[in-house]
Amino acid sequence: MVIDVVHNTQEVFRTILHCMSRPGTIKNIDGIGSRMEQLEKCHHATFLSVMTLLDAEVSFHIIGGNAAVLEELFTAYTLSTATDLGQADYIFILQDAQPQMIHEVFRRAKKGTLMNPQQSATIIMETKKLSNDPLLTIRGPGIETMENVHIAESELWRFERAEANQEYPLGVDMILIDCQSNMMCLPRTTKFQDCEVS
Amino acid sequence: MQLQTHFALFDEGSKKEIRRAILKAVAIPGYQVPFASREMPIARGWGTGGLQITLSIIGKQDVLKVIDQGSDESVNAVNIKKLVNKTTGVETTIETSEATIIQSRHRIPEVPLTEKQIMVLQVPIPEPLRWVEPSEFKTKKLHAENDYSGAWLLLFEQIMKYGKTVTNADHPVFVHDRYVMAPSPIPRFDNTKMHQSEALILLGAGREKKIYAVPPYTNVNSLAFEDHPFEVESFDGKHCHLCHAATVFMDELINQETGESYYQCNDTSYCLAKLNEQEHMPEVVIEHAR
Repeated sequence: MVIDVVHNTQEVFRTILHCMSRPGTIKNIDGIGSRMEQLEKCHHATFLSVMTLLDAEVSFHIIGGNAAVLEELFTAYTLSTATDLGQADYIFILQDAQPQMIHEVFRRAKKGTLMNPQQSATIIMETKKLSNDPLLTIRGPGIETMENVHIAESELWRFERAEANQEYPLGVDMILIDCQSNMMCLPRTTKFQDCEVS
Repeated sequence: MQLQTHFALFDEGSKKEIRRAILKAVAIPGYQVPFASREMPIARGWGTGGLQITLSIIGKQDVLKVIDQGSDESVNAVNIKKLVNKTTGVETTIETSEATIIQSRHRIPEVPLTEKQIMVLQVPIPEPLRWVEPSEFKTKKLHAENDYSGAWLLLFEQIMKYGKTVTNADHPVFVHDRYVMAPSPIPRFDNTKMHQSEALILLGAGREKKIYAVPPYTNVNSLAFEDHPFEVESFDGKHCHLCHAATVFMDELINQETGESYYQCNDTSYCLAKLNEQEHMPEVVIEHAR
């Protein structure tokens, strides 16, 4: 058994829940389940998130990488269907996605409606490195005062994310994953504040 | 023949759907996320919302505590505990500090919660505007338009009629300065525990098919007017007749013979812990004193 669909997905969910309710907190899920050999094109933690969140009731869209191969794989394992970027419930941005495509995601992703803000996309994004180095600070619900975060190449999408989330409660929530299977979440309520260098 | 139920009773599809709703609820504090509430082995109105959340989040490593109006021993609490224990094998406890998941009906424990804990509250009526607007479609619209005049008017009318607000429990709160939320019928005394709580608070309404949440370190302010500030139940000069605690929420009991009223901690495990503490008061042993 590569991934125990009962207990491993529960562990992954609790990790996502912990990170989503405490933005900026980094948790590692490398030890959960074992790596699948045919998964060269997406991180182990990304696949674990797929197994945890996706099923026939939701749709997804993949940006970057070998999208066609992964789409087939995700559907085979979860029965979830691939769909257009503007319709997808879960959008996967893989490590090798082009910057202009990332901008496109934040522009076109579902933000929900004022009546139903939950009908919005969750963006699951692969990044090179996540840490709590004091490069940026974030604030918002789930953070006592502020939290330091360093997300590799976040300058590519921070502005677009802020635009997508400017009309709270509309917006997109993010799950960030790095190649060491570290995970960090940024719900729509979290705001970046660039650190001042003194 | 012993039937083998699936871990945590639910099929994995049900868990996934509820988990997705929980994540959205955490991302939009105080907003009621609709979900496909399942038929449960307990009746609607007996904690099905809380139970569905508990079963969807619980894992083998968890330790569960279930309370009902502060009591670990009531029929409702015991049955829910038994059901979860039978289908998951997780340990149960009455010690608040030992639990990782605390499911509760109408109370937040007296022992401060920590960031390792998740508080699950059972909710009968999740819609704070239901008393002023019976239509679900319209209340959703009022939330969308940030129009809470109905909630304010309700409190205003109480002040006009009684000189103060008379919400005994379920006093509405503002979450993250956006959504007005029903904190479930916890006493006003517990509303303040939701503000900047260390633990994540999840609320589930089974019959009404809603899940909502208060993330840790989130502003939760009880609705109140400037000239009528929010007041919690006062137990000034009263103390628990068993453990003598004075700063907790208490039940008023009547002595059948004398007709006098006396008070007792509502949180039974807190009271028990305090009594045990008093039992083992360290005594100074004279002969070892130097």
